[in-house]
Amino acid sequence: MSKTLDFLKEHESQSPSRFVEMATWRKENDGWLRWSRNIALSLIDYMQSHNLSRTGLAEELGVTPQYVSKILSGKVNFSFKSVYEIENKLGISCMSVNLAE
Amino acid sequence: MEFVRILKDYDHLWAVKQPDKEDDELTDIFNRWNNAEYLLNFFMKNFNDLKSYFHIERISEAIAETFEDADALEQLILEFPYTENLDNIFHPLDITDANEASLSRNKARNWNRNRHTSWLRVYAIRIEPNIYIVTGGAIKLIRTMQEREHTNRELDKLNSCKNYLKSHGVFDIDSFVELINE
Repeated sequence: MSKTLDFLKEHESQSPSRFVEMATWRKENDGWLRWSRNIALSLIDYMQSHNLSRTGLAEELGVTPQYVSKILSGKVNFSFKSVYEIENKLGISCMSVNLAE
Repeated sequence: MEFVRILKDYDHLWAVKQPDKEDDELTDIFNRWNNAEYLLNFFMKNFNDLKSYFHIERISEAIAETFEDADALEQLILEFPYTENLDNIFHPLDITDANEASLSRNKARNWNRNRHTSWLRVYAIRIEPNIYIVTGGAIKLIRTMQEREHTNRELDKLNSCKNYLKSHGVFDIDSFVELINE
């Protein structure tokens, strides 16, 4: 055992890394996360083209800025109804954008 | 300063964990690189760099590319320790680090990215061949780390980890042997 590894082990945190857990979750949920991310990207396009802040977008959608933050995280498992409401209020299509491909 | 092992039972890749933060540095950067709101704020703040150096004006395009690049880099890191080939992925930060016998500052990125050079960086201290401690990471849109506050902060974190290890007498095997032979 080397001196450096001994040192790291002596100073090892009690809480283990969540890197593998998070990476595995992202990989396992990749299919629907792509849809959620695309909705977030559509909203970001809308915000940029209309020069809107998070609060401005929240007002247009009739939701709280906190809910906009949640949507923009790209990790929301939306219902079709919620997506329709966003599309209807902003006059955009969220489900067809696929910038990553 | 505390350290966490990234993969259970593997000694190759570690990360700094600050006691006041929930996650270690490696977990934290990938969480940020997968959050569109964090990326929106980042690219708005650094919009001129994005436009000048990468000719990208649509923020959603920059975010989509970050998602794609982060996925590839994450996968690469997950596979590294098994191949025990970390030295091929991490490269010295500059010529000074390339000549350092111990505790050199290194960077990893997705070296084979298409379209344009990857702007994601993972920063780490190399303590022995194939053994690294991740100190943080950044979206680097400009040429040198000193030019922007967020990359300069990562440089400080690298230096701080290196100094911490040095002050506790941690060297790589060779320099330790050199020291006791003097």
